Amino acid sequence: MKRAVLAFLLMAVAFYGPAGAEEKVAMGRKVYEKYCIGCHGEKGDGKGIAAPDLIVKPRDFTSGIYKFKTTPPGSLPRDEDLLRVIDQGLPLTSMPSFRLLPGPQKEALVAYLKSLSERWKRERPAEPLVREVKAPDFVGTPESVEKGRSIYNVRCAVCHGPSGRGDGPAGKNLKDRWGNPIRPANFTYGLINRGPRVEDIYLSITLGVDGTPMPSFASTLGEEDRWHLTSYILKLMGKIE
Amino acid sequence: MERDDLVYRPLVIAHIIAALVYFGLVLLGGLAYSLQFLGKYPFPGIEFLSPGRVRMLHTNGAVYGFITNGFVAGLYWAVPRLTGYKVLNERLLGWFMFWALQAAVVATAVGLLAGFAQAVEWGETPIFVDPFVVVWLLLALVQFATPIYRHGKERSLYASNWYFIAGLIWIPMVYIMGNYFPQFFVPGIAGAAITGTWIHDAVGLYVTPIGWGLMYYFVPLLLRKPIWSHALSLLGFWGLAFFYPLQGVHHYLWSPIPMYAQYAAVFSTLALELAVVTVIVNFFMTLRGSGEVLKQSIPLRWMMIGIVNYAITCLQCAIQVLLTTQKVIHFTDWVVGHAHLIMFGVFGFWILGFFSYLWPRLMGREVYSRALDEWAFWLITIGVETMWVDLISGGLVQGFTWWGLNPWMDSVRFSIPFWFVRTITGLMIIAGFILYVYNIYMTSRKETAVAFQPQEA
Amino acid sequence: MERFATFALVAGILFFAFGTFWQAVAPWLTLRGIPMKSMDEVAREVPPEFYMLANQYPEEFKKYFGEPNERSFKEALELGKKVYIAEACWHCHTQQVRPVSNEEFRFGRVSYPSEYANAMQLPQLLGTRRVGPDLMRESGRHSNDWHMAHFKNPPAVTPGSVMPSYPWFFDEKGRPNKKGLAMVAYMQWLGSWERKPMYALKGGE
Repeated sequence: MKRAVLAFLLMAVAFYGPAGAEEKVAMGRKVYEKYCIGCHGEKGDGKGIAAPDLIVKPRDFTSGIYKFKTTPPGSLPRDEDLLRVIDQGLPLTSMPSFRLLPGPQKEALVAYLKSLSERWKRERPAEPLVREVKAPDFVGTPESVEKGRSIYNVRCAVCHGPSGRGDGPAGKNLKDRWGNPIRPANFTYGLINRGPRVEDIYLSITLGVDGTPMPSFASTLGEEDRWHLTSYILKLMGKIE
Repeated sequence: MERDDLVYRPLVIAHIIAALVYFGLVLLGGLAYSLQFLGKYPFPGIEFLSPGRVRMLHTNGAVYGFITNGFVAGLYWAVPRLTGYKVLNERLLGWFMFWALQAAVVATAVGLLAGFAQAVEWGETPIFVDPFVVVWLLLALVQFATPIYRHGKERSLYASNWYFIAGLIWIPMVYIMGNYFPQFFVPGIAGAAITGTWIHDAVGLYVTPIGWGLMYYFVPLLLRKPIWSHALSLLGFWGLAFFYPLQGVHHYLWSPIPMYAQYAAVFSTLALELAVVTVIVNFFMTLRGSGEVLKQSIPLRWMMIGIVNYAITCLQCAIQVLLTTQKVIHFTDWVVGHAHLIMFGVFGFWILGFFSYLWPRLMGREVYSRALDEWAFWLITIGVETMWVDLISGGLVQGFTWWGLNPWMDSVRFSIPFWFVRTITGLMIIAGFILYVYNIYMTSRKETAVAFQPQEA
Repeated sequence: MERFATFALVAGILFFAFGTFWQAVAPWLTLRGIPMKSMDEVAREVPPEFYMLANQYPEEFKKYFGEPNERSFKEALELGKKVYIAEACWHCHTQQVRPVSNEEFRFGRVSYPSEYANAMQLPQLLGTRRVGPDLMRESGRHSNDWHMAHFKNPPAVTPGSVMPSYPWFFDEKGRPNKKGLAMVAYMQWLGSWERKPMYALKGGE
C-alpha cells in the first residue's frame, strides 16, 4: 500500500512538477507565436511581416545581442532584464508592454528567446553592473545642470547635437550592429527608449546601448559626473527649469 | 363605405416591396461584417466597403429601411380600417412620403459608405440628411394622426390608436434630441446621457409603440376575437409610456454620467418589466383556447413567436440592466445578441408576420406554397434564437476574460467559435429569407384570383 | 379618459418631457459647471509623439501638415476625429475606463467627466462595444510606427487580430498620407493628459 502511494506521488511529481527546460521552451514557442511572431519573425531574426514598416527594427534574437539590460556592455542580459522589457515595453519604439501575460508564460517566453541564439549555450550573463540605483539629491539642481552641460558639450553633443535633438554632426548616417540606419536619441521628445525614470537616463549613460554606437561611460566618467549629465539631459528634455 | 375601400393598396404594396429589398441588403451586410471576424471579409481593402462602414449600413438599414417601411405599410393598412377614415392624403402626400423615405434611406446608405457618418449610435444618418428625416416624420404624424383624430371625436379610441398617437408624436422629438444635441450643443458626458436616451428612445418610443399598436390590431384580427382585457391594455400602455423614456442612461452604466441618472435608469427599466408582463399576459390570454389557429396560420405564428421573444428580451433586460451584471456583460457580444433578438426576433418577426398576412389579400391570390412558408419560418426562427444564445454566451466569455485580466487577444481568440456559429445562423436566416421572398413573388404571379372576405377589425 | 388629447399630451409630450429631463437634461445641468475646452485649448498640449511623427515621416509630414506645432496638431486632431467617426472605429473601440471589471489595471485611470468636456468629444465617442481594447488611455502605449504598421495590416503586428486593414491611410509607396498621419496623432492624443509623470525627481514614481 505504502509503496503504491509513494509510486503515485512520484508520478504526480513527474507529471505536475516544475516543467523541464525543453517543455518550457516549447511552451515559450507557443507564447511567441501568439504575441511576438508578427514583428520578430518566424525564426526570431527580427524579420517579421510587420518589420519593414517599423522604424526602429525589431530585435534579432539570433544574434544574442540585447540593447537594454543591467549587465556590462557585451555581456548577455539577465532574465530580469528581458522580463522588464516584456513587462514595460520600450517607449517610443514599437515594442509595447505585455504586462498582462501570465507570469509562467513570460518565463517560458524568456526561455524560448534564449534558445534562439547559440550564445546562450557558450556564455552566462555577467553580474549586473548596477543593482539598486537611486538618483542622489543633487540631481536637477542648477549647479548639477551646469556641470552636466560642460560634460555634455564635450562628450555627447557630437552625436546628440548641442540642443539634444539628435542632430550632431557625427550622428548622421549611423548604423547599428544589424546594419539598420539609426539616429541618436532626441532628448526634446522628453522620453528615452530605456524607460521613464530618472535612473533610466543614468543607466543608459552608464551601460551604453549594446549593438548601437552608444558607448558605456562607466569607465570614462565618474559616477557623480554621470549624474550631472543626467541633470543636464533632464534640462534638455524640458523636465526641469 | 366598405372597409376595404378605405385602404389605398398600391402604397401598402410599394412599402412592403421596399422593406423586403432593404431587408435583403441588410442581411447581406450583416453576413459580410460577420465574415470579417473570421478573417474572410469578401471585400478587403476597398475603402467604400470597409467593414466598419458596412456595419453602420447593417444597423441603419434595418431600422430606417426595413422596419420603417414595414411599419408604414402596416399603418396604411391598419389605421384606416381601425378608424373608418382614410389617411390624410394618399395619392399626393402618400407617394411623396414613399419616395422621400426611399431617397432618405439611399442617401444615408451612400453617405455612410462615403464616410459622412455621424457618431451617434442608431443615428449615423449623415448630418445633411437629418433635417429631411425630421420633416418626413412630421408629415407621417399628420398623415396618420388625422384619421385617428377624426375617429376619436366620435368614440373612445382602441388600444392600437393610443400607441400610434404617442409613437407618432414621440418620434420627431426623439429624433431631434438624439441627432442634434450631442452633435452640436452638448459635449462629452452630458452628450453621452443624451445619446443613451436617444439610443433607447429610438427603440422604445419609435419601434416599440408602433409595433405594439400593430399587434393590438393584427393579433385579435387573426384570432377573430377581441383582446382579453381592456384594463390590462390600459395598464400596459401607461406603464410603457411612463417608464420607457426614463431609462436612456442604462446604455452607459458605470460611465462618468452622474449616478442618480444611472440609478433612475436601472430602476425604471425594472419597473418597465411589470408593464411588459401585463401586455404579454394580455396577448397570451387572448390566444388561450385558440391554440389551434397557431398551427394553421403562419402569420399568427410569426407574431406570437415575436411576442415570446419580446418576453425573453425583456426578462433578459431585467437581468442585464443590473449594475452587477453590467460589470461583466457591458461592451460584449451579449448586448449584440440582445439587440438582434429585439430588433429582428421581435419587430422583424411582427413585420414578416403581417406581410405574409397582407400579401395574399393585397394580391387577391392564395399563398403560393404553404411548405415554403413553413421552411422560411423555421429556418429564420431557429437561426435567430441560436444566434441569440450564441452571442450572449460569447459575451459572457468575453466579459469574464476581460475581468480576469487575460491579455486582450485572448478575448478575441476565445470568441472565434462563437463568431463562427453566428455566421452559420446568419446563413440560415438568409436562406429562410430567400424562401420567404420567393414565396411572396410566386404568390403575386399566381393566375387564379380569390376573393378574401373583408374582415372586421 | 381615452381621448385623443389625453394620449397626445400626457403620454406623448408630458411623459417624454419628464423622462428626458431625468435622463438627458439633468445630467447636463449637473455637469454644466465644467468649463468646455475649445479645439485651440485642446491642441495646446502637444504629446512628444507628434514631434516624433514629424521626424519619422519628414517628407509626408511637411507636405500635409508643415511644421509640428499647436496649429498643425489641431488640424491633425480634427481630421483624426473625422476619420475615426467615418470609419466607425467607435463601434469596436470604446473611450471610457469603467471603475469595475479590473479595467483600472488593464487600461489606466478611471474616466472622469472633465476629460470629456472638450470639442473633441462633440459628439461624444464613449462607445458601446469593445471588440478591440479601450482607447481612452492609448497615448504613448504604442509608438507611431507601430500604429502605422497596425493600420496597414493589423494581424501582422497583433497575430489573430480581427481589425480590418486601412490601406487608404497610405499612398502608393506605402508611406502614410494625411489621413494616416492624422489618425496616429489622434491615437497619441487620446489620454495624453493622463500619462504618468515622466522623470519626476522628488516624490515621483
